Amino acid sequence: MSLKSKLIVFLLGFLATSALLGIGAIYIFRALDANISTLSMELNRHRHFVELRASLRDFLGSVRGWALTGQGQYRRLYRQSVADVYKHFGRIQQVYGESEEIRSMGEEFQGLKVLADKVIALEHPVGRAEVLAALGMLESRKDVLFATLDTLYENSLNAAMSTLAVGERIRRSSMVYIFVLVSFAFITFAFLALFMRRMLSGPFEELLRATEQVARGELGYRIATTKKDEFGLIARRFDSMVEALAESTRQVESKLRETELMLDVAKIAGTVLELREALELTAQTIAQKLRLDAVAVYLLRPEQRAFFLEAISQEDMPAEERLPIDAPLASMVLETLKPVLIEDTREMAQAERMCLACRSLLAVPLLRDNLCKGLLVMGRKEPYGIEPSMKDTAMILAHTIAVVVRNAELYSTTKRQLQQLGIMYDLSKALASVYEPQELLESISREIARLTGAKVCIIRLLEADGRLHIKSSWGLETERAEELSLAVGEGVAGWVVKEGKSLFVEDVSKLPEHMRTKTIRARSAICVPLRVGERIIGTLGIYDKTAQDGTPTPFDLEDLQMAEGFASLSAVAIDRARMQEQERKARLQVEEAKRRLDLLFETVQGGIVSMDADYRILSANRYVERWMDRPLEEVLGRDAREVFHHEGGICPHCAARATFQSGDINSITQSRGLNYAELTAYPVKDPQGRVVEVVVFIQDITDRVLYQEEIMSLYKEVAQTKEYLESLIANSADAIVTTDLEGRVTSWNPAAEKIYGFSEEEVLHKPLPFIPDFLREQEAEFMERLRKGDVIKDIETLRLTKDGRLIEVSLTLSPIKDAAGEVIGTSGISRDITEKKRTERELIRRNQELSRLFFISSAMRGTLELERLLRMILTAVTMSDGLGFNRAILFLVDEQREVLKGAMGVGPSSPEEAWRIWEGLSLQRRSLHDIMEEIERGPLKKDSFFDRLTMALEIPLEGDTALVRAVREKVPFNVEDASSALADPLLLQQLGTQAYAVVPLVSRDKVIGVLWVDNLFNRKPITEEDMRFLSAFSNQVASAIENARLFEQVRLAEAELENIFRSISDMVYLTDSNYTIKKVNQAVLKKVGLPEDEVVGKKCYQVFHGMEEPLQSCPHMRTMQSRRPNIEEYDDPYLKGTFLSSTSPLFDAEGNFLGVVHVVRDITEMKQLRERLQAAERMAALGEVAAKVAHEIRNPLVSVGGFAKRLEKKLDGNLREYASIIVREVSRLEQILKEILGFVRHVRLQRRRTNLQELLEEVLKLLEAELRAKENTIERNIQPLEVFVDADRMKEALFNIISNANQATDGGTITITTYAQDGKAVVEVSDTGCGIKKEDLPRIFDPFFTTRPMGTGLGLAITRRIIQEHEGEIQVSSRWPGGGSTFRIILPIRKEV
Amino acid sequence: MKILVVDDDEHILRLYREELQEEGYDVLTAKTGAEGLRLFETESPDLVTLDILIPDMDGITLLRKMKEMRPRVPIIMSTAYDYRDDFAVWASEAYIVKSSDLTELKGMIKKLLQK
Repeated sequence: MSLKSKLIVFLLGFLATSALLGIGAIYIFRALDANISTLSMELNRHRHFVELRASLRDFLGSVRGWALTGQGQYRRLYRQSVADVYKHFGRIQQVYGESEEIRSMGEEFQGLKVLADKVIALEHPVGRAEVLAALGMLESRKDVLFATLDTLYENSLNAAMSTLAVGERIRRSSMVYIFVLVSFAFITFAFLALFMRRMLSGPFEELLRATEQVARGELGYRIATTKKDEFGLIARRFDSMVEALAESTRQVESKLRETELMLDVAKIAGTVLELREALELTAQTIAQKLRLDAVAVYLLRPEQRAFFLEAISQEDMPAEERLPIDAPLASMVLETLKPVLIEDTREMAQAERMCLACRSLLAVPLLRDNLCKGLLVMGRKEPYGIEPSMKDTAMILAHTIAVVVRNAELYSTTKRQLQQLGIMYDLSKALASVYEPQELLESISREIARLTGAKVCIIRLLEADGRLHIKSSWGLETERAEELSLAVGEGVAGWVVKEGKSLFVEDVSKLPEHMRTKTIRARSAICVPLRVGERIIGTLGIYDKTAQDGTPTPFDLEDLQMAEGFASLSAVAIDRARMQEQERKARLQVEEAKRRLDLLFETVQGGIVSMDADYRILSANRYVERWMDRPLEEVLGRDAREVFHHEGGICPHCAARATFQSGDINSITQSRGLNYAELTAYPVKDPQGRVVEVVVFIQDITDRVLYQEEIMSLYKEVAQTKEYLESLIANSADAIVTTDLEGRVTSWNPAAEKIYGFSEEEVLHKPLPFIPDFLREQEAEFMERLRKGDVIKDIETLRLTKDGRLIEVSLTLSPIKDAAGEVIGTSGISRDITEKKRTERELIRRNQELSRLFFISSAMRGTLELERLLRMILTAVTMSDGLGFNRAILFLVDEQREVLKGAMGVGPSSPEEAWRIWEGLSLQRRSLHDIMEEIERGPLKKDSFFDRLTMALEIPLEGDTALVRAVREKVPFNVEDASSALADPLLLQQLGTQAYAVVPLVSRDKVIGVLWVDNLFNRKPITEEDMRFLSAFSNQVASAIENARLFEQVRLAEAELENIFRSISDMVYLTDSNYTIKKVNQAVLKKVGLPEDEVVGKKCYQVFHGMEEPLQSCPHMRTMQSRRPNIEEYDDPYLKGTFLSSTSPLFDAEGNFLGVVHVVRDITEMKQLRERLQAAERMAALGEVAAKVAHEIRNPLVSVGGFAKRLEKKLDGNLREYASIIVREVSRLEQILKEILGFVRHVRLQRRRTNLQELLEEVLKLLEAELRAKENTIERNIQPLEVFVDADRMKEALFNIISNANQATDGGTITITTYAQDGKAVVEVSDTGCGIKKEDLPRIFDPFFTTRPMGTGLGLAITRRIIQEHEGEIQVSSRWPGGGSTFRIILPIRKEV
Repeated sequence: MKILVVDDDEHILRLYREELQEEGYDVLTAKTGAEGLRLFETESPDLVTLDILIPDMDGITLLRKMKEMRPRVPIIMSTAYDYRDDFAVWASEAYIVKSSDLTELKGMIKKLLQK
C-alpha cells in the first residue's frame, strides 16, 4: 500500500471516531443544561417562599407592635411589610402561575390585612379591647396562612431534590464519557506517533545515513530494505546508484593502479639490471599494486623442459619451483601464447599441479620474438578473484617483464663475459707464471674457487695406480685428501673420467648412490674432465657455489662453461708442468743413482775388485790401492795373480777361484802383517748360470779383530769400574741422586742424606724432596732438557733441606741412557756450596768492592735526581752480585715530625719474585744505562708492592730499637733475632722480617736516614762482613743523598725563584751594560702591553720611555753612572703613573759590571692611597683631640650651665640677667662642641632610596632666610634623580655646600644643576661669588680651614666626609677673583645593597 | 623612686642630685665605679645614669655588671662623647650626651620609670 492511501485510511478512521465522540458530547451537554435550568427555577421559587414568609412575619410583627405600643415606627414598618408581601406574592405568581394554593393564600392575607388596617387606623390603640381582639384574630388566622406556605415550600424543596438526583446521574455518565474520550485521544496519539516513526522518520534517517556514508566515500554501504513503499523504491534506486558509483570508482582505481604499475614496472625495467632483483621487484610491485596474493615469474629453461621460478612476490607463498612445460597451466599458455585465466583451480583437472597455491590464477606468457620465454603468473587466493579485464594489463606487464628479462640477460651476459674474460686472464696469468706442478695445482684450485665462487675446488689427477688422487684442493680439509682417492667410474669424478663428459649436479643428494662421494658433503657440484688432447688426465670439481653475501646458490650453465674453460686451460698447464716435473725427476734419479754408485764404489770401506775367469782385473776401487804397491790405473786389465803376487799380501784371486769353481759366495780371511783382511767373492753369472765374473770385496778387519780383543779386556775393566763407582757413589761427598723420567728417586746416596737430611727409605720412589716450590718450573725445564739428552753442568741453585733450610748447591744433571741410547732417567750430582758460595762471594765482594763503589759513585755523579738515586742505591744493595741483600729500605729522618719515614723500598714480595730478580739482575756486562732501565721497568720498579708498603712506614724517633739507636748513636746495628730487644715490632709486623740490619746514613755529621736490609727469602744470616761493607757503602750513600737533596732543594728554589720572578707583581727586569733588556717578568709585559719577544732584546729606553737614546732623568742612569744601587720615586709620563724604581748594579765574579736589575713598582695607586691615608690620619688625630676636648670641656660646661640655670631661677634683676647670659653662652658653646664633634663622629649611614630633587628642595627651604639676607637668587636646573643615600647626612652635605656658596656670593645667582652621567648622579652648585684663591683650593676641604672670620672650618670637611662615606666624590673648580666657584658632587646611583 | 648617678665629676653629681631631687626622686651618687656598684647592690635603685669615662673602671664594664645583677633596672648612659652609635650595642636603655640643659635627661628618666 502506498504511503498516500495509508494516510487517507488513517485520517478517515480518525474523523469517524471524532464525530461519534462529538455527538455524545452534545447529548451530554443538553441533558446537563436542562437539569441545571430546572434546578435554578426550583431554587428561585424556594427563595421567594422564604422571603414571603419573612415579610409576612414583619407584617404581623408591625401590627402587633402598633397594637401593644402605639409607636409610630410600627405604622411605617407595617406599610413597608405590606408592600413586601405584595411584591413577593407577585413574584411567586410569576414563577408558579395561577395556582389554587396561592390564590387562597392571597385571600387569607386580604382578610388579615383588613383586620390589620383597622388596628393601624386607630390613633391610640394601646389598651383598647377591640385592638386586642383583632390581634387575637390575626394570630389565629395567620397559622392557616403559614401552613399553606409551608406546604408549598416543601413541594418546591422536593422538586429541587429530584432535579439534583437527575444531575448526579448525568455527572456520572459524563465522567465515563470523558474517560473514553481521553483513552481515545491517547490511543490515537500513540498510533499516530508510531505511524510517523515507522513510515516517515525511520526511512528518512536511513536514507540520510546512507547518503552521509556514501559522501564520506564508503561506497560499500547499502540500504537494502524490503519496504514496498516509496522509501523502498528510493532506497533501491539509491543502492543501485551507489553500486554504479562504486563500480566506476573501482574501475578508475584499478586503471590508476595499473597505470602506476606500468610506470613502476617500466621504471624497474629501466633501472634494475640484476635479473632476479628486477623480477622480484617487479613481482612485488605488481602484487602490491594489483592487490594480488601472489605474483610469480617463471623463466623457461628449454634444456630442462620446464619453467623455473625466478621471482615471487610473497616469499611465504607456496609455489612450484619447477613447472614442467607439460604442466596444465604451462601447456595451456604454450599452446595459445595468450593469457590463460583460471577462475577456480578446483574446477581444473590437475588442480594440485597449479604453480601457485591460489584459487584463481592468471598466467601470461613472456614473449620475445614470438617465443615464450617465461610465465608471469598472478594469483588470488579466492576463486574468481581475477577479472578477465586484467588480461590486457597482464599482457603489457608480461611484455615489460620480457624486456626486463632481455635487458638483464644482456647485462648479465655482458657482465659474465667480462668477468670470464677477466678470470681467464687471471688464470692464464697465474698458470703461466707457475711451473712447479704442486704450486700450479694449488694456484689453479685457489683461483677457480675464487673466480667461480665455489666453496670447494678439487683437482684430481689420474695417477699411475689408475686411481684419481686429489692433488690439490681449496676449501677441503687437506688431511682427508688421501682417503678421497677414487677409482675410475667411482663417484662423480670417476664417472666424469670414465665417460669423458662434464657433469653438472644441481643437487648431489639426488645422485645415484654409487656416484656420491660420501665424505664430501656438497649440495651442488660441477665436475669437468681435464683433457690433454684425447687423454683425460684428471678432473676439476667445484662444489657449493656461494653468492657474495655468503648464501649458497646453485651453479648454472655459465659456471659449467667456465669450469670447462678453466679445465682445458689448466689441463694443458698441469700436463706440461707434470711432464716437466717427471722429466726433471727422471733426470735427477739417473744422476742420483750414478752419483750414489760412484760414491759407494769410491768410499766404501773396503776394496772392490772384479775379475773375469782369467783373473784379469776388470775394475777396482781406490781402496784396493792400499793392498797393492802400484797405482790403480796400472792394474786394470792385468792378471790379478800378477798384481797380488807378493808374499804376505792379500790374494783376491784365491777367493775368486773358489767362487769360480763353486759358483757360490766365498769368504776367506787373510792377514798381512799386523793387518787382517776379509775377502768375500760374489759371483756374477751370465744367463746360463755360468760364473763369468767375480767381484771380490776386500774388508780390512784389523780393527774388528783388535776390537774384539779390546772388548774382552774392557769387560773385565767394567766389572772393576762398577764396583769402584758404586763405592764412589756411596762415599762421595757430593749428593748423587738418580731419578726416573717422572722425577721419582731411584737412588739416593749417603752424601745426599747428609746434605739434605732425607734418608734413602724416605725418598725412594718418591718425587725429589728437595726442590723448593718456586723452582719447580725450572726443574721441569731441566727435566725436559735431560730427556733430550742434554747435560746440565755446574749450575748453582737452591735446594730445600728436610729441616726447611734453603741451601745453595752446585748441581750437575745428566741423563741416564740405556744400551740403546734412550734416556731412561736422570742423575744429579749436587754439592752443598753454601759455604763455598759464601767464601766465593766474600772474595768477589773484596774484589769488586772497589769497582762497585766506583759504579755507585759514578751512578751518583750521574744522578742528582733524588728519587732515581735512592732507587739506584737500593738496587745496588739488593742486586745479587751487589750487596746481595734480599730487601732494602731507605728511611729518611723527618726532623720536624721526629720520625723516620720510609722513603723507598726495593725488594721482591715473594720467593718466586726473589728468584726471578736475582737471576735477572746483575752488574756484570751491563752498562749503567741498562741497569737503570732495568730498575725503572723491571721487577724493582717504583710502586712495587714492597715499595708501597715501605712508603707507609713511619717510625717515631723514640725508644731503644735498632732503627732509633742507629739514628741517635750513628752506629750500625745487626738485629740477628726478631726476639731481640733491639728489634722494632712495627718492622717485624709490617715486613715479616726475622733478622735485619740497619746502618745510619751520616752526612756532615748528621744522620739523614737509615738504610735497612734483610734476607727474608734465603734466610742468609747477615755477617760482620756484610755489615762492614754496608757501612762503607752507607758513607758513600749518605753524601750522595745529601747532595741530591741539596740539588733538589736548589732546583726547587730555582724553580720557585723563577716562578716568583714570573709572578711578582712588581716589574722586574734585567738590562745589560748597553741598556738592552735581557729578561723581564709578566708584570713588565702587562704594563708595557707587549709580548715577551718584543721586549727582550730591545733597549730599555725604547720600551719604557719610547725614546731613541737613554733618558738622563731616568733613575736607571744613576746606577749606570755610579754603579751603585739607587731607589727613587718618579712620575713617568710615557707609562703614565708614579713608579718607585730600585736599580741595582750586577757584577760578575771578577767584578765586571754586567748590567742592572730593575725592580719597579707602579705606585700610582699607592701614592693616591697614601695621600688619602694621610688625610685619614689627620682626621683620626683630630678625632682623638675632639674626644678629649669633649670630655674636658663638656663636663665643666654642664656644671657651669647647669648651675647657672639654677641660679637664674633663684635670682632676679641684674643678677638674673647675668646668669641668663651664662646659660646662653654655655648653650652656644655646647652647640659649637656638638658641631666640631659631629665632624669626627663616625655614624653608620642609614641609606635608603631618596629623591635628590626633594632633598635639594628641603635644603633650599632651610636656607631661605639666609639666601634672602644675601639677596641671592637660586636657579634650579634639577632633574628628578633617585639615589641611595642617608638622607639626613646628604642633606647636611648639600646644606654646607649651598650655604657656602651663599656666603661667598652677594646679590648673585646660585645655580643648582643635577644630571646623570656614566651611571652616576651629579649635583653641581655654582655661584657667581668671589671665588677661591688658587693656593687655597687644595686646602678648602681640610678641617678648620676657613677664610671667613666666623666659620669653624669644618663645614666642607664634613661635607667631603659625608660624600666619601657614600662612595662619592666632590670636586671644586673656581676662578679668582670674582669668577665664582663650582662644587660638583658625584654620587653613584646604586641599588639597595 | 631611687636614682643612682655615677659620674666622676663632683659638680655634675651635685647638679644632677639637686635637679633630680627637685623632680621628686631620691638620688644616690657615686664618684667611682666600685662605689656605684656597691650602691647599686645595697640600695637597689630604680634607675641608673652612668658616665662612660670613670676613673676606676669604665662605664661599659660597670654597665655589664649591673645588667648581670639586675637586668631589669633601666640604665642611661650619660657622657660627654658624641658617639651614639658606638654605644648602641651595649644594651643600655638610653644614651644621652651630657648637656647643661637637663630637660632631655629628665624626660628620658620619666619615660623609663613609667614603663
